Amino acid sequence: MIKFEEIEIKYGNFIAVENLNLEIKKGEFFTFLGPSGCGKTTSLRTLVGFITPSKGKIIVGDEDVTNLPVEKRNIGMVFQSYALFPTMTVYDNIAFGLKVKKVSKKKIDEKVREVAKKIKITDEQLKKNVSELSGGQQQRVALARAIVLEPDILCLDEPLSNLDAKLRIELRRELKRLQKELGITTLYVTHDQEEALTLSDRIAVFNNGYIEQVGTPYEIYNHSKSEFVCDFIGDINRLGKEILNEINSQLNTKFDTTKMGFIRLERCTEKKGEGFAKLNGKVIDLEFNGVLTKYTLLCNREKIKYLEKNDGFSFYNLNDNVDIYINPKDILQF
Amino acid sequence: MNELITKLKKGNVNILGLLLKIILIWFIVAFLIFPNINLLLDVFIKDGHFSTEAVTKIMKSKRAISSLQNSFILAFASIITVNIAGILTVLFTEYFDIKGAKILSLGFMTTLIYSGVVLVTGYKFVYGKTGIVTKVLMNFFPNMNPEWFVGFGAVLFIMTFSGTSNHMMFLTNAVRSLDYHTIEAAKNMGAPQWMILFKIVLPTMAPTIFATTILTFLAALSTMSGPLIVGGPDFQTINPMIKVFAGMQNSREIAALLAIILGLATSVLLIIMQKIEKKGNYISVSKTKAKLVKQKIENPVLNVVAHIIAYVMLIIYMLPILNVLVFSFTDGITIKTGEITANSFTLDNYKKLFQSPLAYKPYLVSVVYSLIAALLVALIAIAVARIVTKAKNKLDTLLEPAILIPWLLPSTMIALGLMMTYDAPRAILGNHVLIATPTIMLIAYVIIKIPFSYRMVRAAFIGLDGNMEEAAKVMGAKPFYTMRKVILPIIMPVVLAVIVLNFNSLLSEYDLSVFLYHPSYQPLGIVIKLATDETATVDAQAMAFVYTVILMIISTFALWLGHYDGLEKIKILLKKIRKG
Amino acid sequence: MKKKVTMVMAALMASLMAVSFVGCGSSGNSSEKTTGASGANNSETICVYTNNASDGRDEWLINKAKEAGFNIQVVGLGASEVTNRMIAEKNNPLCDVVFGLNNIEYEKLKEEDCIQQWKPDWTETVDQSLIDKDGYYYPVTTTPLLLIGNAEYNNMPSDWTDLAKDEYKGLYQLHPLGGGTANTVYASIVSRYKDPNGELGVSEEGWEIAAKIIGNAHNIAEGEDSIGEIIDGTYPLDQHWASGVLTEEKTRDYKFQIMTPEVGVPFVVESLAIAKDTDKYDRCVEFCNWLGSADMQLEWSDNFGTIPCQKDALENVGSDIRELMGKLKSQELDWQFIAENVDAWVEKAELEFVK
Repeated sequence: MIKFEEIEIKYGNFIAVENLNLEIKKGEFFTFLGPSGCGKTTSLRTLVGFITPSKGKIIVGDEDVTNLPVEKRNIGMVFQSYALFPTMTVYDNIAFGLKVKKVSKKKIDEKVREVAKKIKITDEQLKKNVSELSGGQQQRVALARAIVLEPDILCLDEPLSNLDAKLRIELRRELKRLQKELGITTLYVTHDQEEALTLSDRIAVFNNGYIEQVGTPYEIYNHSKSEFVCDFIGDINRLGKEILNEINSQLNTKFDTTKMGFIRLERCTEKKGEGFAKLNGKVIDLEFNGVLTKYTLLCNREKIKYLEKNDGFSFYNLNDNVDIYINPKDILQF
Repeated sequence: MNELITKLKKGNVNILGLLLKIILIWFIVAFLIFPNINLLLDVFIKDGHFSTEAVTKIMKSKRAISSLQNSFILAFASIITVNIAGILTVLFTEYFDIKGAKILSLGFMTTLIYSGVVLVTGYKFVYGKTGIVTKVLMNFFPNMNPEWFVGFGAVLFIMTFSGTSNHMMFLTNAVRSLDYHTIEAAKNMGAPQWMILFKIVLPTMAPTIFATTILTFLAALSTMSGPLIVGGPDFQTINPMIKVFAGMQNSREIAALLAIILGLATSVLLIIMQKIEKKGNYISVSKTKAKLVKQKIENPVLNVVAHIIAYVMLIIYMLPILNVLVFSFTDGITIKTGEITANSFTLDNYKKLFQSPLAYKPYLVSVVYSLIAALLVALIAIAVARIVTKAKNKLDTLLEPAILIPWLLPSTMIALGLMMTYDAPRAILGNHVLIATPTIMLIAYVIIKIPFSYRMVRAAFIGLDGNMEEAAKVMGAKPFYTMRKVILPIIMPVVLAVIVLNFNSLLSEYDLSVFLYHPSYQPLGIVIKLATDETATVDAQAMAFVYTVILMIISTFALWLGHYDGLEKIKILLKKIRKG
Repeated sequence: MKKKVTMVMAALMASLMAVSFVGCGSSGNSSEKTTGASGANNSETICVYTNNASDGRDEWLINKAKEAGFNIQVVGLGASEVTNRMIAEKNNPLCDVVFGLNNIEYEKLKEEDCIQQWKPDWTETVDQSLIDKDGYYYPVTTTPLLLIGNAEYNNMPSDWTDLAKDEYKGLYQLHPLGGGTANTVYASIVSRYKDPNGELGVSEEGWEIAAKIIGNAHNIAEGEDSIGEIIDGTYPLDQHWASGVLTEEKTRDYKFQIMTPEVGVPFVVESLAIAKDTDKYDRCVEFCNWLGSADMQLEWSDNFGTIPCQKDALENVGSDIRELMGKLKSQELDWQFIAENVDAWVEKAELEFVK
């Protein structure tokens, strides 16, 4: 559906995005993930048409849209700041695009109410001025405004970053439901890995203007192709020379001790398994969040973190000695 | 070029926008650049040689040098005093919890409805030899000099309390849009009130204060009436001198040179201000703003002091205007002598005004001219501000300095430039002669109001969320549609304020009008001036006050329309009438 | 409503360009240049530029002219502004008749080729010495410029040049030199010291005296009650034009002392002229014949206290005017010399003498 072909984007002499190749399928929920300044928003804005790439092509369907004006691309967009029009009511904000397209008044009214219902904006709220709404409600209006035009593609630029944690999770779910319901191809930009994992069909991880890896959330998480991806997508333990030596000597494995080894926190466990290496350490820090406890151990002068489900039995205190087990297959080296 | 053609083919270039740009560039070249350059060449080049005679003449003139000095002293001093007075008026009416803030606000707003000679005369009548304040003071200090209100102090005093209009118009908005959370946060961290004021509140208002500072500086440099009327022998400024020389055919190079000196000083200030402005970050980072709650001054002593200062300021603001009002109902002799008795009062002045069939016409002329000029200026300011804030190439950014040119020249010089350039057919105007047509004054009115309007509208544009335009674009809106439906409504309060200020100040414009007005359309400024001319009789001078009172009524109405929801109220009223 | 606003805005935008062209369109076409004036026949409307329009004189004149069958339009300006404007409008003149200016201004207009030669039918009855020898402008009224003083002031100077003495320092008032009165008095003093080798044609002695007189004066500020200050003794001496003195004496019920120098006082003669490029020359001459006639000038005087040049009129004016004129003598002045140099003299004074 959407193809980025050898895209290069320059700001003056600064190359923001280089050699971007990407294909997004119809109906897919696709996420650009990366730290700020990595080129993800730039790439999104190029698709929408705010930026013309210095090299390469963007193809939507069968059409080369690289030089097509913004308004002819039929892409909906939700901005980080929402960019709602402060002098208009909620209703007028949602109806704006329809008015531009000279849709009849009756039809506009029908559509606005239909979308409002879908996005859970009440009739009361429709009459209000946008500045009277809370952040979450404003976000809904911004979304309603984008989808009322029935775009082929929906672009969302960090839409949830201005909301509090609870609201963010709630809206996340709704977004996902809505996307599946409408079947609309969606591009989502975020720096929040949890959002990316829970929402996306596929993720592209950006770093410094390059794509490090493209894949399903499962692939990205479990089979990270680089240290950057591995680190960015979730919490990780870095195993140094001493621990890798220990593991090599226990299991006769051949980890390269001149490089770091990486292992996810949840793969370090108190339960012994076949062919696992055993490490002993002292608890130097613990964070209890109800469901899980995150322990930090000091093993061989290196820190290792692991998670333990709150099963009501074992609970360690500071300075307790703990044995943990590691499956060598879970250790990644790049 | 090829790129442009391909873009044109693909419909990427906005034809209307291009046309607008061409019109603007034509306007700037034809009216802002060409006449002024023409004037300068004309006055400095004599018999084909560049003449530096004017420099020698000025250097030899003690009066010119001291007047220049005085102008700069006044300009810098008034930056300080006007900002203090202006910020105080805004704090008293908007930020601090002062009893009767509404009345204070109305009083402080009076500077918006009268200005120039009448305003200064008003002050002179209050503080001068025959004035009420002097009389009261004489009761306590019988030995004081009754002519104490003269010189630098008097000029600065008037500058200070008449120069706060821009603060009231623009700083008020800045205070209202403060994020109250930032104040609460500071309180929470234990900051005392004064610290919140100086470290949080004032810095957030900095961009507006910069703007008002520039305007104050310019106003003080070009002030005319203040020094002329109360400056006395020791404190005369340069602008009256420029005007005298500009009016003399053979002395214009002196006027031009003096104007250039002022213009250079102004440019230096503008550049410095721009540098300072760029250093700071003033964009609000608040996502959800809380409404400002008026601050009660905690220290009881300070609270009383603040109330006293606020009301003393109110009295200072109100006395001259009341004086004008009272004098409009008295005979000429009373005005001259300042001695009001029971017999002084008369309605003759008003009768005279309304009986004469010629009397209302100047009002009509001035209202029409000012209104058209104010609207045109607003359009130009919006167009240029929009182009500059979205500037993509060098040419676009060059529009800004070009549009500020009128700030660098006194209005007399601008009038002369237009007269001397368009008194003959010129290709740039399609070989039309402008002089002695009704258009030339309108163009001049537009020119002198452009820089101020542009500055204020640009500030509004900078405060806009850029995503707003993009959002409209994504939804398919063309730039002009977006402009009309999205951007204009947001910046409308500022635009209206600018229109009202321009309208009010053009109503009694004199300096330009005297050179350019068409005999069939005599504007108010000319009529008032003729009425107060040295050849005018005593009673004619009473008429000036009547004219002014009517002028103040029109200005007040304009202010209400544009700044106090007058338009909205009229709309509602009309709706009611239609519904029956 | 919003739509209307935008429509208005759009219309205005278009008018930005259009207006300037339409406006210019009417220029260069002289038959259109007096549109807007009242009157049945526009082509017959005479546009009069004058510095004698204040205090309702314009209205009075328009009505009087209408009775006499003339449609006129009056443009009232200061004297030097009338001159500047006429010079500026050379390529697109609006003015048909200009009256009330003094000789200095008319000489400038003559120099700039803004007025033309003509002859009224009443030249016989005016003082022939007042008539321009080239036949461009003809006298209507005359205004002696006086130095007046507080009635009790016991040190009245006997000539303008006495003011240079230190004893008068700060005691006499000076109007802005741009105005007609001060300008002419100043020129009348300076021109007494004609010296072809001196700076700007004036001898060293002349400049010394001018510097003293101007430097020692109290400069009258805008809106200042100069007459009141003579009466209350703040600044007991002031220069004033004769008709104004009489009016002030009446309004304030006061009798001023009047200086009568042996050389006489400058008599400013206010004349009447026809603009160069008028397309209704014949009508203008008719109008000027009427305006300058003895009857008309007598009425003008009765209403506004002017001093007519017409001998018949002067004999019948108010007694106070006749009494005053009996005391005064016209000073001999070289108007051409003055007209040629007065701007440079004023420039010098403004730069070096005014304090």
